[in-house]
Amino acid sequence: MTVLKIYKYPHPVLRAKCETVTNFEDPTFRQFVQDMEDTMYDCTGAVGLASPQVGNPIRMVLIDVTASGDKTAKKFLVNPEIVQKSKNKNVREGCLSFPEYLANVKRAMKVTVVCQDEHGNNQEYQVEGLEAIAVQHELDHLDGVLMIDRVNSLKTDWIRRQGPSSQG
Amino acid sequence: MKKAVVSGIGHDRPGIVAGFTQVLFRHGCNIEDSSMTILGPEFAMILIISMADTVSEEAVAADLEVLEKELGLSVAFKPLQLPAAPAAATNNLTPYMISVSGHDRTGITYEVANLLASFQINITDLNAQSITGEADSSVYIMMVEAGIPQGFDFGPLETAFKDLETTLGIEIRYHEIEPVAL
Ligand SMILES: [Zn+2]
Repeated sequence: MTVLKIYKYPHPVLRAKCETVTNFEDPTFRQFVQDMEDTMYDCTGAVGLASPQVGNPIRMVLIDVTASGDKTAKKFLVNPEIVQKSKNKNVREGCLSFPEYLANVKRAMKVTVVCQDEHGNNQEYQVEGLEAIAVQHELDHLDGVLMIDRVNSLKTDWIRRQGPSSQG
Repeated sequence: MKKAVVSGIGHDRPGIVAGFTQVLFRHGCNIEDSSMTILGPEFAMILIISMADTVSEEAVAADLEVLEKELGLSVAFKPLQLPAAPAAATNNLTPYMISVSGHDRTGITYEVANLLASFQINITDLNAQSITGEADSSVYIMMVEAGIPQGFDFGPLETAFKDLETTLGIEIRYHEIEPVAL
């Protein structure tokens, strides 16, 4: 079991434009899939993790909004693309790369995402609520977009964390 | 009708707003606009007041001076010149959020404000914080709200931002502020 280091802002890897995954058989990639899983489940309460956050700028994220630790609900989204979105609502989210803060941002409450899974099989997911928020947050990471970029006011939308809550 | 701007800064404690507003009420001054904030241990407020021409500005200022001693505040009172014509037209300005961040160092605020001024961009709000970033470094985050005229050419501004990013080792990003749809 390998728990990778999670990079915090302003580490430059968080601003990287991530590369498409093409070789699903590559042993380095197989190992990375396992390491990413180990890393996310090592963070209590984490509901998502994007590859660049652990220093590997490839287009893959891991989501599990149950945060239960049993790993059955985990979804690897590889080369994901959002193809449909509902209207935006204001939500509050956290990020492992800004561990002390929460941000009020606008996110769609329902999204449809097409992607591949960690084995390269095509998938389409319709997700809503927390899972939809997590998908949008993690996909932003693949384009080097961070929650600080989605905030409209430091005074009202950028909040110092009081206690633990779900993050990604 | 005449107007004045009143400001007060002092160690935060209960009774500051009450003390101020009591003086204003006693003199029949009307509070037209106000802004208050707490920064660290300090409370700061700025008020625009209006009063009838018969009200003595000296008397209001004198009573505020008493408050200054009672509450341990720094108070300023300044009669406001009413502009003959409306100041710079603000109705064709689009609000933008310019966010600046990077390892904490002196001069970031000045350099950015100076650059914006050189492009005749008016700052309407500015908030800043230091947060703990990668490897426990201190990261400065600043968000500047500014009005940018329609049809503004962003090319030269972007070049100037890039230069400043390199010189100061910071990130500068901007986006139009979406109006809240109600
Ligand atoms: Zn994140």
